[in-house]
Amino acid sequence: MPDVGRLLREKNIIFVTLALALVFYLISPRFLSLDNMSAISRQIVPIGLIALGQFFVVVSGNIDLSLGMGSVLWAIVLGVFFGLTGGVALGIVAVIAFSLMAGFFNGVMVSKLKLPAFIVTLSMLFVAQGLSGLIIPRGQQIFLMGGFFKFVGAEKFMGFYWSFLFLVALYLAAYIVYNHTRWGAYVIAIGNSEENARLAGIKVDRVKIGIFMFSALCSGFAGIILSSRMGFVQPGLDGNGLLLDGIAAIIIGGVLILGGRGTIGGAFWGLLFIGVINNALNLLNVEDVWHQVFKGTVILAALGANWVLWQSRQIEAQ
Amino acid sequence: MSNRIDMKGITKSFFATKALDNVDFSCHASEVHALVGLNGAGKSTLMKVLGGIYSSDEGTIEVDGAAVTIKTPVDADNAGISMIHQELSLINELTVAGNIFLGRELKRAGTPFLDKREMARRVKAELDRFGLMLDPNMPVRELNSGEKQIVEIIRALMSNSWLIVMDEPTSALSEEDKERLFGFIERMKQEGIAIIYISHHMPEIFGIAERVTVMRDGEIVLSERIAETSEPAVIRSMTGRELAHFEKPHKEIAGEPLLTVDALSKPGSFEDVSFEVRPGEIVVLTGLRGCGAPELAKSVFGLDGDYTGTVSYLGSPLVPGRGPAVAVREGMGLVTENRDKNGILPALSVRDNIALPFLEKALRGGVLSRGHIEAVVDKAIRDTSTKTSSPDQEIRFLSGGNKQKICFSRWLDDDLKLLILLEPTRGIDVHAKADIYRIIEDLAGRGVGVLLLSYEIDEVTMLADRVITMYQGKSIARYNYPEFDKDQMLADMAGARI
Repeated sequence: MPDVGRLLREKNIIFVTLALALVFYLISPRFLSLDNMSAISRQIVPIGLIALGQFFVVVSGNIDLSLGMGSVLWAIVLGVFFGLTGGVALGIVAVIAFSLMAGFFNGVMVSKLKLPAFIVTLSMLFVAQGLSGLIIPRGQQIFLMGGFFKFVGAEKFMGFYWSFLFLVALYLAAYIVYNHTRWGAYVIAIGNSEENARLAGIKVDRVKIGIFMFSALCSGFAGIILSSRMGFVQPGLDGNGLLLDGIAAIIIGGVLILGGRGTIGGAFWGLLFIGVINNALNLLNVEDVWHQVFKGTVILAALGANWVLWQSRQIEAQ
Repeated sequence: MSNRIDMKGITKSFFATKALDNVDFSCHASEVHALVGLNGAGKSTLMKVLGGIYSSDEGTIEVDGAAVTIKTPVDADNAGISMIHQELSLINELTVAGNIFLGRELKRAGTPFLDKREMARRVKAELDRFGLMLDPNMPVRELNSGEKQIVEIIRALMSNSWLIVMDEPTSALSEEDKERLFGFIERMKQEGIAIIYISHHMPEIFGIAERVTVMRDGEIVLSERIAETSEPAVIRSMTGRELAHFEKPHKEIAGEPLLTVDALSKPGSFEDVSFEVRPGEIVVLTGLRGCGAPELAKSVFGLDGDYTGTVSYLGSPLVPGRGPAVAVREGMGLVTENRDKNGILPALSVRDNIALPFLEKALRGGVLSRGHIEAVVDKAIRDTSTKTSSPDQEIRFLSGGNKQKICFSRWLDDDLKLLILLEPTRGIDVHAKADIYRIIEDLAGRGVGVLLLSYEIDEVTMLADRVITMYQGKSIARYNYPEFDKDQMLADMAGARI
């Protein structure tokens, strides 16, 4: 017989998310309509990409604060290349190449020069923000039109948005890499103890650089999908909101902020939790200011409950 | 039987001090060779030479009769030598098998994917070979310290190690885990593994070792087959010559007890311990690591309330676990063994570190009195002869001895009545040690009661007015100055029968 208590404790994010969804449904039945669920699935894609990149960074015991403003910058890079060439291919190649380079830079700073990731990526956040405003002055925007953007932003396959399917596929791939390859084990090992990982013969610096390159690539993808969905790019986009939602998603999903522990499944449920809150508050026409307060309160309540449960389990275990 | 490992004429100096002086040490296959000695006798230095952490100034190391060069830990690894340290080097969030294969994982042929099943199977086979019950797929975080140690040893064996060095392996183990470890060691012997076993516990050494070697002051003073020696002989050889005595000043110890500890027990830490500390008296708790003395001292200070029995201070019983704030207000101070972790605030200045416990007393109408703080800080630096360029210097740039002096100086104001010191000279050079002993005696001379924990027998007998020896949480015996019998004390600490 499955241990229901244990399931509740360890998978409580699932139950909390479902319970929250039920509450919203009771307030507004429209919440669980097919249209709305489909809308949620599309809204969560950029957050989900950034959360996935952040997942590996945080499990390795680091943080990447540049992911949100980075995705805004990459969206603008795509827009500029589209403006210049009228096509998307070159823009996408540029976004992928530039984001990998930025990630490589972050990784080298953190691993080789031993700078704290918080400082390196905070600096990169400002650089990305500045460059965005430099490329497109405030108040201006570039419109993105054409087949590709429509395809990424609005087209469906068997009832699911392509962008959502891409996100799911990426999470599945990440699941396999995290759980079934050396690299995944090394990320966990480094997050637990860099010194012990090094002693076991792991090339810690190389793994770290890889982690930052992957997270930056995720923010590149997020930029492409974000801009496609909106149909325009501008420097005033709320990149830091994306970043914080991404961090909230993985933390709610059970990733230890100090590193060393977390599951991809948990992160995905944390993403759904954030998606449900964001969507419901819009749907219920909650004012923007209250939106934030509510989100903060719910996150604190969820994490607080989790923490208390975790502690009681520690006491049980003794 | 021939030696598998043979260290010959190993000499190693640190600056002017000879840590190892022409040491010969060897180990056969299928042998447990116990290495014994007081702190600073040179055991760890010798093992660090073997493990490639230090390189020796002179001497050779031979494996199966052929000279080898061991300059780095990787060399030692390649030579088949593994060190199992007290602080284990496992990754908590990975499984048993994941840890054992960390860094040399098996992959499914032609894919980048891990072959978890095969790794678990091989680990299981190895565990079975040694008769150990452990699930290879269990996360290491769910194991207790005994099981973690086993994982670490299996990892060493599976990377083809034939010599295992264990440093105080039982210090954190329960009785049950100890039995299992000894069973495991027996099986390893049958498989031809050589084991160097560092320990102070006489019953363990005489239970599992074939040979015992005692080190003192960087030299081998005894090396015998177990059958040809005895516990008292080993204990006696550990102490040997007397050290130059630190002159213990004469003083009167009088008055009502400051601190009365009555029948204090905490399951798993200490059991039914009672003692008193009077003004001006230095009471020293001593034992081996894991004897429960630090836990006891912390409970007395009020950091931990999870005990039975009573602690009375100045005649009235204290509330268990009342926390440091109350203790400090009532003139009780604590200097911890881990000054970098619990003692100092590394980013703050020397001044701020000293002033911290005095801030409440320095309030003048709700405002901190700058002058009062300056006076306290200047006096403290002078009294402890702390070497710092200025009170504004960040404390983390000071040497270990000077940091420790600052930890002390925090408590040197007139309100101090009882000071609890945990390993006050750990990791400190000889000169700073003398300063610290002087500070402690000065305090006692002023009528402050001192409760001190030390693992170094010479320090214990040098400072104490009364010594309480502990073994596995129980207080074994007490000794009053000047009737200190070091051999008997060491025997108490090691659980030996003399």
